[in-house]
Amino acid sequence: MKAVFIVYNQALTERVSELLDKHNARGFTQWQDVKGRGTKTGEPHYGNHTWPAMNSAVLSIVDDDLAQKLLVAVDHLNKKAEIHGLRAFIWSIDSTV
Amino acid sequence: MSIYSTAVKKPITTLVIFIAVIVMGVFSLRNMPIDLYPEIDPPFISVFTIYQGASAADIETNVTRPLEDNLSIVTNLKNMTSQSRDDISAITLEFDYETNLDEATNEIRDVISRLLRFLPEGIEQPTVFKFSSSMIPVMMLSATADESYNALAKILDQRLINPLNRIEGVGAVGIFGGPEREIQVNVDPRKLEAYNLTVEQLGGILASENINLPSGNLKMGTIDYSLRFTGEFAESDRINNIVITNFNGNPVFVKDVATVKDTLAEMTIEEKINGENGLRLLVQKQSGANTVKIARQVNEMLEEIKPTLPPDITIGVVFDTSEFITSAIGNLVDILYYAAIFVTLVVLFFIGRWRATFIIIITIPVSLVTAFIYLYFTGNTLNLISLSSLTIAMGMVVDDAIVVLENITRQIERGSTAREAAIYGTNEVGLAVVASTLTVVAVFLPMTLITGLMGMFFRQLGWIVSITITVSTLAALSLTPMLSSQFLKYSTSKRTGLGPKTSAFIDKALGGLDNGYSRLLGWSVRNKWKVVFVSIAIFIGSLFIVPMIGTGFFPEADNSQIEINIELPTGLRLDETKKTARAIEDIIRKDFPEVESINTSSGFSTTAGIFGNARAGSHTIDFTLSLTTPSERERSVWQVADGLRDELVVFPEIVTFTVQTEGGGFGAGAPIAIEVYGEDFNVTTGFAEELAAKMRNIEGTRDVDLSRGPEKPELRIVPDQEKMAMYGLTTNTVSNAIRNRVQGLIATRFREDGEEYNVVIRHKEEFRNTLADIENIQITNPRGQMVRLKEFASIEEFYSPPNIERKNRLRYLTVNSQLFGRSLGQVTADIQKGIDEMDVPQGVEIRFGGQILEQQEAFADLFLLLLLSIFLVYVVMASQFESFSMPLIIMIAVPFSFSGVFLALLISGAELNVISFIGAIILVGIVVKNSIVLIDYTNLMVARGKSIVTAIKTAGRSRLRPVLMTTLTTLLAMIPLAVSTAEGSEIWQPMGIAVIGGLTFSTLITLVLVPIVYTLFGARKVRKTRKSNKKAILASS
Repeated sequence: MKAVFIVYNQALTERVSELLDKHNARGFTQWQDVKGRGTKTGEPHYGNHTWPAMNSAVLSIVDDDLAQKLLVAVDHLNKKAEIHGLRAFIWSIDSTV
Repeated sequence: MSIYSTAVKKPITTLVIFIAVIVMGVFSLRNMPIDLYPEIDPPFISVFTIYQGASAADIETNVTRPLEDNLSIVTNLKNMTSQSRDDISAITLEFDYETNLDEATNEIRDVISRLLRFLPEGIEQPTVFKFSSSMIPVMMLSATADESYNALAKILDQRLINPLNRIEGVGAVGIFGGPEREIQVNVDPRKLEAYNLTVEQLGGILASENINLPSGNLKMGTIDYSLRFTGEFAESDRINNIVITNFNGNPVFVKDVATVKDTLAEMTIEEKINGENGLRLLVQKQSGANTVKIARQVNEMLEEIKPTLPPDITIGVVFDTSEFITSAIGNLVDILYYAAIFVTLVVLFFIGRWRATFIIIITIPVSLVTAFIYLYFTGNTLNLISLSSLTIAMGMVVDDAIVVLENITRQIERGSTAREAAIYGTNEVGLAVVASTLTVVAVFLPMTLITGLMGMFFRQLGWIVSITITVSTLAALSLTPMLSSQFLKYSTSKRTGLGPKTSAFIDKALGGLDNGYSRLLGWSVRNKWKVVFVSIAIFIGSLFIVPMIGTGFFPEADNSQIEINIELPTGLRLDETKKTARAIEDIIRKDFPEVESINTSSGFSTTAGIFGNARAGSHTIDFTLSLTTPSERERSVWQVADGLRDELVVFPEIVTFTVQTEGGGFGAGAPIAIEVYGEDFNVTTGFAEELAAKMRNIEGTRDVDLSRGPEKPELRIVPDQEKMAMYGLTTNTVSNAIRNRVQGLIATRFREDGEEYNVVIRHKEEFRNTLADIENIQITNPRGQMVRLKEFASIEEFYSPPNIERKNRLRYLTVNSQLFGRSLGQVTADIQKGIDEMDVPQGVEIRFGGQILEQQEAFADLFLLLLLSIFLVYVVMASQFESFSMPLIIMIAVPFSFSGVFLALLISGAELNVISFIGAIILVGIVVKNSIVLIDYTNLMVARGKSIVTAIKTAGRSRLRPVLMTTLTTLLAMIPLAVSTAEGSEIWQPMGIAVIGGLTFSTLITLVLVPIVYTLFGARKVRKTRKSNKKAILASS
């Protein structure tokens, strides 16, 4: 089991949900209106006057192979709309109840 | 959930709501009446008091003064003017515009009833009269006839006036100048004297003969008859054969001592319509009724009635105020359409896509119809002010939609779906859009607070723009994202075809412009002091052209009407007056082909009564000329008027004349009225004459004249009281006797077909033509002796003193003048100079009145409004930027917009009047918007860490197009307003000129100057915070 954490510009909300649905990743947790900025190039998304954009985040716990598929799909989406800002992170899940 | 995400998620709800708004708007528009201006009821109340037999001076001391002293306590009273003339005292009270006139009327009645027992015994109960806009005639009709002329008034009364009166909203239909039937019994005084009879006795006999009397009932058989004695004259001829006395056993008939004529009353006024005999009909509306609607119904009714009248009667329309209104409103509607087309073109030019353009343009109808809803529910009309307001709003309502759409497009281009781009794109700019709307509202909302005449006028402008702009913001935050989410899509594929190619070309050209502007900014930053000094020099330079700009009160429109009032030597007989009238008519017909109809009134109308012109008499002529529409003639109404003046000057018999053009029916009488106050008639008249002479030499003045008329010659019968008493005569008997013989005694009324006609007895004309005739008048005293007038009285020639005018309880007179070719401000300045050179006698005071005063008051109000607007805009911006200095940098645009206004007015030769002044105030809101866009983005760049110079260059490059686009939409929407030459265009033109000049000039200057000033002052704070941040970082590491 892997945890996939996707942080994305709010403007991509529908595409990300679509992406999860398409890969049949049913369970997820979503945070709306989160702030953040990229380490290298990503513009700050603060939701204020200077940086008006905002992020959302999704955490989905999936099987290992699905996690890899999701990562590829996210990379694909990111390339389509690079300027918006979209990142995915994967880490292992030790146990669940 | 925010308004835009709801709108995007519920497109149908959004759509139907806006459709509902449009339907409401169209409904309101269909039911809305049309008028020239917002309804303004003049705040005047008059008090008329009649005191028969009192001279002007007596009236002043005994009636006018006490009334004035007591009326001066009425609340909200602004000015009180009065006129005391023979028999009549007329006091006019002027109130503030907001006054409740019903309450004021009650208060005036209270004052009068308190005062009444202290006034002279002989006065009639004073009449309180409230003026209203319904007094102004809607239409003037003329009727001419050949054979039917004698019965014209009666025919019209039955067949035309009655039906017209039945039209809803028609107040009164007055008839002027028609002949009236009269049965004249013209007595030969010598014959009457021979039979020992008097005029009064004859009158008594006729009255007692002309009687029908019910004489009781007669019961015969089963029937109860009523008895009736019928002595009434069945025909006027019967008067001839009435026996008045017996002389030596023979009966004496009326025909033995007099000639009985069934004829027309001697007329004191002669009406000619295009040289033909006729009369005038004035149609007045009821207060609150709609001019255009009434005029249409009257015209329809006329068409129905015309065929039923005798064939020789022609009914014409002398003037129809609704024609100018409909035509001016129609022209303004055209202008609105042009403005809409221009705005669409600008948006298409910059955006380059049909769908996007459509989404933006749809906000125009959506927001503008709300103005109709507002107008309808507040009971207003569609008028010049409301329509010009729409033109102003037109260019501004698209601004918010443009900003929103631009950001949504950018989001889509970055790869979002249309839905999300719509929601989040709107979210990002929502606050900025609301803030920029607030600055505009800050300028327009205070307009709803101004008082006085200007308030009545510009309140609608303030409300309409505030409402439409607010609605446009709402639409931009809901309708625009909704439509964008439905219609916009991002295509990476290369577009082909003519459209996209041109748009690509335009895009390239605009890109070049962006770069050029960015380079210009770079150069300006290096030469910032040069730029600042040049700008300051330009502003100061523009102040020097201010004195060259003419100032005026209200623009006058060419409404194709000219009024001429001519005075011949006082006391001239009507027959002589008519001759001059005919000569002038000939000249007008020969040399002024523009004149369509000439309406001439010679003499004065007895029916005009207390409302009549105090100076009218048998020696006055009034012309009403109707010209062809402005497009059909080369000379303007003012040029024609001036041409007429040149013709009138050559008539030696004309004492004074005025040629008036009544543009728009709005203004305070003569444009120039200099008030000369002083108690002594001779001193003030003398001074006024001197002033008038000076004014005549000033360029631009026309028809300079004194309000105090020349003295009237009159013959006075001065009785010797002692002798009169000796003969047993009283003043009452004598004066009545003379009156009955000269003016006539109405003995009885002759009835025919339900109408009554006066039977008037008086001396034959050849027995009342000379002084000797009057002196020989015989009067019977109580002892039955005949006494001739000359036995106890003498006739002397007198000059009756002029009418006494007072204002605010001081005697005064005005020196009036019309204007031609020069502005009110310039001529006023020259007059002031003239007055300064003169020696003002002791006790004489001079004040400016008329339009000069109105202008001063209006300008003071507007100046206050300007300051209030600037302050409110500052407040809105200070809160938006959370800064005291930033708004100041942004508002640098404001003074340059005024420079632009001055320049545009100078170049176009237009005047600075209330309309162009309003244009200048509007500019505060518009030009500030531009700088806000620029500075806001620069601030953003600085906050994002760019250096100040890079920030202004980036901001400049990125914001140039939005600035140009919003400026051009506003500008192009105003161009039709400024260049139109259609009927009525004179009224709205100054506003268009002012806004275009100010906006163009300030945009050009501010695009360079505002960023430079930003680098000078605004950046200081940024540097300071950055430095402190750096220190903090260094300290912590």
